[in-house]
Amino acid sequence: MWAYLVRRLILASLAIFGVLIITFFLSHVIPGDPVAAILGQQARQEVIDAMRHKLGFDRPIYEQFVIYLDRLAHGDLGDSIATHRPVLQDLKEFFPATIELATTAILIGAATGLVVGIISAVARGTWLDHATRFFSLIGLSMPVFWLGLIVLLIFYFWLGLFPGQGQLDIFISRPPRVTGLIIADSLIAGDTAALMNALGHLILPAMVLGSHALVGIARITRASMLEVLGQDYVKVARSKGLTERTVIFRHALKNALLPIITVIGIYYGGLLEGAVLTETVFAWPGLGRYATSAILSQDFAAIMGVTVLIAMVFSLANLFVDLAYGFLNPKIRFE
Amino acid sequence: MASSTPRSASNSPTGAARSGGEIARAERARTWRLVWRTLRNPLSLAGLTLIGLLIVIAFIAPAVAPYDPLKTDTLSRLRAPSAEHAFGTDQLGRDILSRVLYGARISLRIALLTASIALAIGAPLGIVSGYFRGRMDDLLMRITDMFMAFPRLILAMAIAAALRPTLENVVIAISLAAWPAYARLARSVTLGIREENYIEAARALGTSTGRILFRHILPGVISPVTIQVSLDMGGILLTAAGLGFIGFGAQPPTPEWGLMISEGRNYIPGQWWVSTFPGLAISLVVLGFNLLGDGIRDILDPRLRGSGR
Amino acid sequence: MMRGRYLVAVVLLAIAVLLPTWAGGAPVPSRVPANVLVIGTIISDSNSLDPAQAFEFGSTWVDLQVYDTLVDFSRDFTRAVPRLADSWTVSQDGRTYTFKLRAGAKFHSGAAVDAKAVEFSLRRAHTLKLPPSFILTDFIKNPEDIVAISANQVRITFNQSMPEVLMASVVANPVASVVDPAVVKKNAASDDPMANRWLSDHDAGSGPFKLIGWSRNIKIELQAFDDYWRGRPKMGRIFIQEMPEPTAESLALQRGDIDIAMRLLPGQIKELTGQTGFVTKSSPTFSLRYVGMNVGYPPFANKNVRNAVKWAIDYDAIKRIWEDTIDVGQTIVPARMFGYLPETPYKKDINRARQLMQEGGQARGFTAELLVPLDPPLPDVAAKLKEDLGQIGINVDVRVVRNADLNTVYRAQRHQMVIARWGADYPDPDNLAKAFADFDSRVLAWRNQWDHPVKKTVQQAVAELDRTKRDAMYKEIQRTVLDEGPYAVFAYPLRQYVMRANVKNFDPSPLYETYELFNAVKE
Repeated sequence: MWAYLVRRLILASLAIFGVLIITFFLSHVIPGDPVAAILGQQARQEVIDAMRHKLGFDRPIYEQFVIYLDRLAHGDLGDSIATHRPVLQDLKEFFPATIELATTAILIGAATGLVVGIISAVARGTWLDHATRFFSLIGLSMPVFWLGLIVLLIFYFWLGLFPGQGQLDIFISRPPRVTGLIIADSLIAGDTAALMNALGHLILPAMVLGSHALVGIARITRASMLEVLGQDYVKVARSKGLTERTVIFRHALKNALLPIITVIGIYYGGLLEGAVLTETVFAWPGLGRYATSAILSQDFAAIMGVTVLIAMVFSLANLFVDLAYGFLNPKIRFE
Repeated sequence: MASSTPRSASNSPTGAARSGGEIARAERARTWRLVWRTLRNPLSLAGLTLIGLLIVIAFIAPAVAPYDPLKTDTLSRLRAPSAEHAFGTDQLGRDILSRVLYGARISLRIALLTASIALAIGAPLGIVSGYFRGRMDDLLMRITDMFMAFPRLILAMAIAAALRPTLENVVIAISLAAWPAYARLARSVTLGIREENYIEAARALGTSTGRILFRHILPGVISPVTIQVSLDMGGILLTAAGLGFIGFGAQPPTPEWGLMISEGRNYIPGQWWVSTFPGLAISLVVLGFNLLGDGIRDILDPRLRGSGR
Repeated sequence: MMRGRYLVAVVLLAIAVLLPTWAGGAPVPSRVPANVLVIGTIISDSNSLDPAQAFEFGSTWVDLQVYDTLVDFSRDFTRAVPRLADSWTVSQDGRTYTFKLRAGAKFHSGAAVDAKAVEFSLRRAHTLKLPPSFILTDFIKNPEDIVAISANQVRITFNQSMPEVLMASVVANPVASVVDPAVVKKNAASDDPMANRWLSDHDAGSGPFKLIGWSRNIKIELQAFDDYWRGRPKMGRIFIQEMPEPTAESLALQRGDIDIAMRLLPGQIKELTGQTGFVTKSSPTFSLRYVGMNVGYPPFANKNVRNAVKWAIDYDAIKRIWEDTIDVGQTIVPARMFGYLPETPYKKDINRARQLMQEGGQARGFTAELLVPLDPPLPDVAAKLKEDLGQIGINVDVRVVRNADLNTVYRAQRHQMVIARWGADYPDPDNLAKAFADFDSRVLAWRNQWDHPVKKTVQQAVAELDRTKRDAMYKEIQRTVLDEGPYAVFAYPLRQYVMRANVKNFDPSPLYETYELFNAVKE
C-alpha cells in the first residue's frame, strides 16, 4: 500500500515535470513577444529591448529554462509581466475562486445527476428514461459560453432572480481573506450579508458549469443502479414485500454509490478546466480567466504557473480517486 | 468536456485459432449486430438521424443555400427573420440560413479530421506499445500520463496559440490533446488480442510481426477506438467552438458555427437571431453525437441495456 | 402525476406574473447606493497604475483621478491651464519654463506638494525608462534639466523651443504626475529603489481620489480625498468594475448594477440610445484605424497598387458596420487638432482601382495576408475588406490575432497587410507625423518600410515656432501621406459610453485620459 502510494507520487511528479518541460518549450516557441504584447504597439523599441533584457528573454532558451528551474526550486514561480506581481500571489488570489465555483458546480451536477440517473434506471427503457436522459444531454450539447449568456439573460436580466457577474456585488466589501474562499471567509467573519450575496452570485455560473458533469454522473448512476437492481439481494428485498422506494434508496442506491463517487472525483478535475469559458462570461475572477489572458499575452511565468498547478490538481485528484476506489472496493489490490 | 475512458473489454474475441478471414467475418457480423441494435434504440436512432442530417446538409449546402454565405450587404444588416431571410441577416448583412447550412460542411470537416488524426497517432502507438510491452510500453504510458495530466482545453489553447490560428490548426491542436486516451484504449485492446491462441498460432507459423500487427491486431483495434472517438466527437466540436470564442479558432469570414455564435453574442438580446441559429445548429449536432454515444454505451455494456426486464 | 401538473401550473403562473416586470416599461431602479458610483469597463489591459508606467486606456485614466500634474489642457486643446502650478513663465527662446506651485495642495498622506516633490517625480519617470517615458525623454534631455529652484518653483529646460501646447503635451501627460517622495521612499526595495512594483497597485498621489485598492480582474476602488485643493469630490466612493463581456455589461447597466458602461459595442449603444433612463455620451477621439501595407512586400512597393487598395475600400460600408459611430477621416491628423487637413479624396471606385492595379503591374492580382486584432468590429471590417479587395484581384487571407502576435510581427516588418489603431500620445500633430511619416523615428513608417523624403519636413516642423508655417508644413506632410503613403486611414471612431440618466457632469473629450470623475455626481 505505502509502496504503491510512493510509486504513484513519484510517477505523478515525473508527469508534472514533463508538463513543465512541454509547457516551457511550447510557450517559448510560440511566435510573438510577450514584452511587445504587454507594452503595446506604441512603445518605443528601446523600452522593449530594455525590458526583454531585464526579464532575461534575450538569453538562449535552455539558459532561461535552467534559471526557471533554479527559481522554482526556491519556491519562486517568477513574476507575471501582465499583473506585475509574483505568479504565486496571483495563483493564491485566483485559485480559490475557481475552487469555489467548481465545487459548487460539482455539488449541483452530482445532485441533479443522481436524480436523473436514478429515475432513468428505475424507469429504464420507458419514455421517462429516454426523456430525462435526452434533456440532460441537451445541457451538455450547448457551447458553455452561449449557454452562459442565455442563462444570464433569462435568470439575471429578465427574471431578476439572481445577481449577475462577479463573485460579490461590487460595493459589498469582501470579508477578510483567511482561506481565500469567499463562502468560508464570510462564515468565519460571521458576515451573513456577504455570505448570502456570494451564494447568490455562485448559483448561475455553477449551474452552467455543473451541467457538464451532470450527464456523466447521471450515466454512471444509471449504470450502477441497473447493475445493483439486478442483484439477488435486491430481488430478495423486493420479494419480502418492501416498498419500491425502500428498495431503491435503502438497498440499491447505497451499494451503487461506490463507482458514482469515484466518477464525481474524475469530473471535478475536468470542471477546473471547463471553468475557463464560464469564468469569462460571468466575469469570475478565477484561474481560467487568468490562464486565458496569460496565453493571450504570452505571459510565460503565468502560463507555467497555471499549467503546473492544474497538472498537480489533476494528478492528485486521479490518485485520490484510485485510492478511494481501492478502499471502497476490497476486490482491488494496489500492485 | 472530460470523458472517462471506458475499459471496453467486450471486444476481445474468445475461441480457438481463427484465420484472418474468419476474424474479418466475425468482425463484420458484430458490426452489423451493433448497427441493428443502434437502430432499435430510440436515443441512438435520434442521434443517428441528427448526424445523418448534418452529413446530408453538408453535401447539399451549395445547392439549397438561398444566398452566397460570404456576400455582404451592409444596407440590410441585422434584419430579423423574414420570408426573404428565414434566419435573418448578420452584422454584415449576410444571410444566416446560408451560413448555417455551409457551416455544416465545416463541422463535418472538423469531426472527420480530428477523428483521423487522433486515430492515426493513437492507434499505432497503442498497438506497438501493447504488443511489444517492455520498455517502450513503459515509456509510452508515462508520456500519456503526462499528456493526460494536462488540462485538455489549456493544452489545446497553447498549441493553437503556437500555430497560425486556422481551422486546420485548431483540429491539430485538439487531436494532439486527445490522442493519449485513444493510445491507451488501443493498447488495452491489443493486450487482450495478443494473448489469443490464433495470434500465437500465427507466430508459430512464422508470420512476420508486421503482418500480425496489420492483419490480426489492427482490425480488432480500429472499431473500439473509432467508437470511442465518435463518443468524444460532441466534446471535440464544443472544444473547437470554445477555442473560437477565446480567439484561437476559425477566421472570418468563414461560416463556422462557433465563430458565428461568438460574433453574434454581441447582439444578444436585441438581435437574438444572429447567435441563436448557429447555436441551435451546433447544439443539435453535438446532441446527435451525444445521443448516439449514449446509445452505443448501452449496447456495448450489457448491464445498461434498456429492454432487459 | 397530479403533483407534476400542479408544478407546471405554478411555473406558468410565476412566468405570467414576472413577464410584465421586464416587458417594457420603466427601467429597473438602480441598486447602487446614492453616494457610490459604479463604472463598468475593462481594466485587465493595464499592468500597472504607477504613473511612470501606465500607458493603457484603463491605467492612465485611473491615474488622472488619483494624481495631479503641473498643468492641464484647456478643453479645446489649444492652451495650457493651471493645475498644481498656478502660473508659469517662459524664456525668450521658448525652451525654459518656470512653474510656480499653488499653495495648499496636499498629498493623500497629508504632506504638502512642494517643488522638491515635482522634481523627484519627473526625474523618477525620466530615469525609470518605462513605456510612456519617451514623452519626457524626447523633449527633456537629462533628468537634471528638471530643477526645484525654490520651495514652490520648478524650472524645466527642454531640448528645443516648445510651443505652449507641446509643453502641455509633455507636462500634462499622466507620466508627469506628481508622486509623494516620502511614500515612494518608504516603500522602495533594494531591487526596486523607485517603488515601481509597490506603486503598481498603491497610491502616492495628490489627486481628487485616493486609490483604496485594485483587486485584479475584479475592481479598482477609489475614495474621495477630503483635503483636495479644488474641494472634496461629489462622489464619496467609486468602483471601476471589470466587465470582460460587453453584452453582460449592457445587461448590468440595464439592471441597475452599474451606473456607467464604458466599453459597450456600437450596436449595444445604439439599442440603448433614446431609451428613457439612459444617456449616451459621445466624443470624437484622437485615435484612428488604418490599413497598413508593407512596402517591403513586393506588390505594395508600387504606389499605384497601394492607391488601388485605397480606392477599393467601401468607406460607407465600414461606417455602417460601425453603426455610424465614426468620423470619416483619411488623413493622419484628426479633426480638432492643430494642423488638421479636411480632405477625404478616396471613395469606393472599382474601375479606378482596377486601372491602378494594372498601372502597378498587378493586373492579375496577388494574395496578401491581413492581420487583424481581436477587437470588434475590426474582424467584421476585415471580412468586408476581403470582399472589396477580392473585386480587384487581391486575395486577402484574414488572420485575427492576439496583440502579442500582431505587435511582434508588425514591429519586425514581417506583415503584408495589417489593420491597426494609433492613438495620439499627446494632442500635437508631431506625434502622428513622426509615427506615420518619419522613417527615422522607427515607428509606423519604418514598420511599413516607407522611407520617404517627407521625413525631413517632419523633423523640422516640430520645432517651428511660427504657427502659420508650422500649419502649412503639417498639411504638406498629410498630403504626401495621403497620395503616396502605405496607409488607408478609414475611421476615427467616436468614443461613446452610456450612463444611467441620474449621473451628471461626467463628460467626454477627445483625449480619453482627460475624462474627469472629479465633478461627477448622481441625482
